[in-house]
Amino acid sequence: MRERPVPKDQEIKLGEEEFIVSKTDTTGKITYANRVFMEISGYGERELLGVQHNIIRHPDMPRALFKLLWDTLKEKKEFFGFVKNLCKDGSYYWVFANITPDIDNEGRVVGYYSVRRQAPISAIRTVEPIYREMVRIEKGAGGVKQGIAKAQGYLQDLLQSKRTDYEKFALELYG
Amino acid sequence: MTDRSERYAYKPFLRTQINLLCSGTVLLPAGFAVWQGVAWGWHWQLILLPLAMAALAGYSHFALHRYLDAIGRIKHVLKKCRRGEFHHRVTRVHAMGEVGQIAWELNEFLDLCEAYFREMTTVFTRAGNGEFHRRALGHGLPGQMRNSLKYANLALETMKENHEQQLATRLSHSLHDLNTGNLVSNLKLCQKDMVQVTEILEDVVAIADANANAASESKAGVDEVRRSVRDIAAKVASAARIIEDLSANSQQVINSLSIITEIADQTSLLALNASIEAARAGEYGRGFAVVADEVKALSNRTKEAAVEISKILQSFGDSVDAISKEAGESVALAERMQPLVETFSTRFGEFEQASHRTIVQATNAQETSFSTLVKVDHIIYKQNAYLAVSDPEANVDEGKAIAVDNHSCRLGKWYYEGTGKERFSGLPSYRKLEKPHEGVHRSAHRALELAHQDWKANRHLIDDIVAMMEKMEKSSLEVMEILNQMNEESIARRERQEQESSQASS
Repeated sequence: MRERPVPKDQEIKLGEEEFIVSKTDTTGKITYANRVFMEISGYGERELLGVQHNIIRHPDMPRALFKLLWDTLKEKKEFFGFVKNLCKDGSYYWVFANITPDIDNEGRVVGYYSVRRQAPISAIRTVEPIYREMVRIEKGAGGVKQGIAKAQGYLQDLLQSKRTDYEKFALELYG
Repeated sequence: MTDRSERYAYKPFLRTQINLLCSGTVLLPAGFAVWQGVAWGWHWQLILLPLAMAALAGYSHFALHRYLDAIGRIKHVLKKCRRGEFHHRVTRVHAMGEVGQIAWELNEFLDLCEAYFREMTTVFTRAGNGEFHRRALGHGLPGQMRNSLKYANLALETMKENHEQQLATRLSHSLHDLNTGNLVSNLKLCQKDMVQVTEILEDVVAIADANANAASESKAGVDEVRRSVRDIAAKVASAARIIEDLSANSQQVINSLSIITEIADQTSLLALNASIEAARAGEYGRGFAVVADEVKALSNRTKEAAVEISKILQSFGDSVDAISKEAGESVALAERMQPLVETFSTRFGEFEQASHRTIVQATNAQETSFSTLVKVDHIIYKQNAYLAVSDPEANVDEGKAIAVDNHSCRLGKWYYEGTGKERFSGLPSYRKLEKPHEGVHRSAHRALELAHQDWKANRHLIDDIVAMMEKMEKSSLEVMEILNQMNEESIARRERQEQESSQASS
């Protein structure tokens, strides 16, 4: 098991006209990462290729959100979301991620393609407390599964009260 | 069919050149060393240069082939690009200098292309499914690509407007068709009710007219009876006076009779005296002359008294005649009154029946009106539902009006606690109303809920809304039919009871 970087309170921002591109196979292993990805995350190509994409998963992110991500992709739909990622040196960066399944001519999913742009500060301010509460719920629940279910319920109720779903919510926040 | 690019393919010139160069680098020093050894004799130092050159050639061959391999992969990716596959990348080009740079430039160019094509494909695919909120994200894309996505978004905006207009038209058309069709039949039901009420009221008016005529006729009869009764009273008063006279006359008769009695007494006494005198004198019959005088005087008085009695009796007879005449008149009056009184009795019987009929018909009319009223309330509820569902934001009041459940709407109150319960709860169809009525409310609530969602972004929602309203109409039709049944059953029940009671009374 690879040693996880210790998170520290230092934010890295993507440039105005930059975006991170990465590709994974169906199991989530990285098959391609662009140079912006490497520069921001601090990992080299050799450290990334063939490795699970969750190498950059930040502990502040609720598991329920990744569950939502995978559930959406399994339906062969694209996913939008705000994600806080962890750099090799422990600093973090916020992105607005768009992940689409790679579908071949026979309609099979052969991998995933992700474009991630800098998340606007107003959006980060909105989602941060929601994620914090979801993480709190997950930790407070008896087990991992129950935690995810509870946090998902919380998010669902919140979105329902605003008469929206996560994708619309995210797209609106991105502006 | 062979690929044109294959037909005109360049020979792998670079690879051949490298192979030739490397071979030359190995072979030339080796040949030179062999020639030196043959000419000037062998020396171990002679192999140093060929060895070094061979090593150099080997390294060059390896390094150059790595580049060639990378270039080969770049060529492969470009070929794929030409076939429209933008998802291939050139990886593992670490520390390859210019070749690596070219590979990365290609990769990042492909990132842009792929991002651009994915955006285009995704937004239009989703727009095709009615999801217009997904706009193309041009951020991070350069120049023309970004502009192109901007125009795509403009196109999407127009598409969205058209789509929404179409959907709005579709929704309002569907709701309008549904509503008009049902509204007409609903109004027809109410119209039928009103026709029935009118007919019943016509009956009621006719009965009331007949009653009024009969009443005025009866009034004439009553006047006659009153006059007759007044005459009778006058006759009876005069009879009383006659009887009084009669009584006074009788008194006189009694007085006269006592005089006669007195005379008779004295006569008998005189007769006794005469008999005593006659016995004592015997031969002295002189005394008889005196007695005979007295008796004669007595007989005169008796005669007077008798005349008097006869006079009295005469007047008595007159009185009796008068009484009998009066009595005769009274009897005639009574005889004349008899048929009048009988007519009265019949009339009053008719009055009574007519009044019953009036009550029955008026109650029928009242119930039918009640039923119509709740039907109209129900129709208004549905109209509110149509308004609220067609535009929930603009018709908030209508939305609130239909938010009530089937116990709190006017029909519900009528049914559960009001006149409906009071009048109809004993009927077989009463219980049947609850379920469809609840269905109407449930469907209307569900339709409004759906209408609150973003149906402009989801065309299936419109179908669902219309389907839900159709469901509401179906339940509503049942409600209307059951209300009719209840009304008919109630009228039939009342007619039956009326018949039974009239049979019992006759």
